[in-house]
Amino acid sequence: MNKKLKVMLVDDNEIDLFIATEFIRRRNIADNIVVFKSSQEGLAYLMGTPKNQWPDLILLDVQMPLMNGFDFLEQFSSMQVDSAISPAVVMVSSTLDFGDLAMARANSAVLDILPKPLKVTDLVALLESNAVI
Amino acid sequence: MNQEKKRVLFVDDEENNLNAFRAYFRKKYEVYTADNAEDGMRIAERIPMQVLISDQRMPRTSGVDFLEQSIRVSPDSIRLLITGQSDLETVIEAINRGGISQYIQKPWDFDRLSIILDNSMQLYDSRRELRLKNELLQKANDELNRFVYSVSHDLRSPLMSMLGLIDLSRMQDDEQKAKEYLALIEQSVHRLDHYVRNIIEYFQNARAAERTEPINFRDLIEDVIDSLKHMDSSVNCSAEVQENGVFCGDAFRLRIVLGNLVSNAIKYKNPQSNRPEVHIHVKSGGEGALIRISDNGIGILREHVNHIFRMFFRADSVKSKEGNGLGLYIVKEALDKMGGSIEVESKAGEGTAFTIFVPNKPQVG
Repeated sequence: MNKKLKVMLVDDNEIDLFIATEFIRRRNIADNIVVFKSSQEGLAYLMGTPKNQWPDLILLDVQMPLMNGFDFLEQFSSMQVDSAISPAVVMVSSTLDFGDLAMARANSAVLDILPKPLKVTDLVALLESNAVI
Repeated sequence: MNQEKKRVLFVDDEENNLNAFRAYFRKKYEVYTADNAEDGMRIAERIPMQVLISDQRMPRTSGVDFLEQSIRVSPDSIRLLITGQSDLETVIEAINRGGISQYIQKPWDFDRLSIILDNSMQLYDSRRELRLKNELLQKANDELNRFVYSVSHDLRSPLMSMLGLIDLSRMQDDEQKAKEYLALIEQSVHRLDHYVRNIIEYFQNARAAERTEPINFRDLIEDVIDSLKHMDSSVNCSAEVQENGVFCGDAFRLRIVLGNLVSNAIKYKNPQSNRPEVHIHVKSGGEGALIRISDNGIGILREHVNHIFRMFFRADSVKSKEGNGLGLYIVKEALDKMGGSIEVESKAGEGTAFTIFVPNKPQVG
């Protein structure tokens, strides 16, 4: 295994944050996990963090109140203008609504959208095939 | 009939025809006339017409052109064209392009025109009614789509959490850890149950007819508080009831309203407070019941206050894990059904107070 990742989790559901954290920790792919309960908190963190310290991977929930995952991505892409650093984004959803699937797959910034509960083997396979790890 | 008169616009370049038309129909309809298409358009732009009638042969703009242009400003109007005999091409064009419902052949007489106008007015009414019904259906359909999207997420989400926790506990031998997972599974079960109960309330409220009966607020409130005690025993609930005479209302919906508001007050307590409380104050009788439910909880941010009664609105507060965006929406719907009203005052960090008014509906006989 190569270098370990810095992973950012954004999800309004605390239990799902806990589950994802546990899985990633067990699989030992991350050396740093930062956790946010809303899009706004996540964006504020990225805003206040130097780009060279940005996470390598963002695991992003789709359905969140006020600002959903797609709203997050919209804001985030405007922060990435003329920046070589672009974290890998993987969306997660418990619904897998057709519209959400299509929207996530149409977004070039998103590697893929995975169903909840997160299967860490699927996540690792996705990251490997995209040379994130 | 004291109904508003229906409006008709007649466009013809012959003054005599306009005068005769006005004289014949002015008792029955509100009649507008114009001797050229341009003036006709100006009138149709300003005043909504049920029926537009135009002669085909006019200098500058023809009847078909006028009627075609009128679709833009007055889409619902019924359009009629008057043309001479052997003018079949014009008629075909008028139907295809000018959206006319009927053509009237020259020479025309008032008896026939009168019947055509009557039918056109009826056609206008039924088309309009159909369109309004369609809009309502469209709205109901949109709401249903939103509902299905939200429900499918909110029903599945706790289930998927539970599956994730089960996956985790399979890999875990440590008994203490396993207990932690069980506690989280239990939390998810409660969340799902809360949501299912909300959906049931939503449909019961939408369907059940209003039934009024004398309300004993003391019993009702005690009952509500009892049923919510299990949520968080650290929150102190108190009530004060002043009843002046008999208040009659819909017990089922009052229970929904009070239950949701009190459970919110408990759910959104201020975790920093060492004495979280909810106070219910009721003053009932005469005109109605004034109920105030106040708490010293986390409060609502000013920018969210206007949205809290919207379906599926959730603020991402400190502890939104049980919120599903239905509770206050149901409260509002239930109050609408009872003819009541609700107001909210809130300060983030200090607390929230909902004030409800429900009209008294004394039973007759």
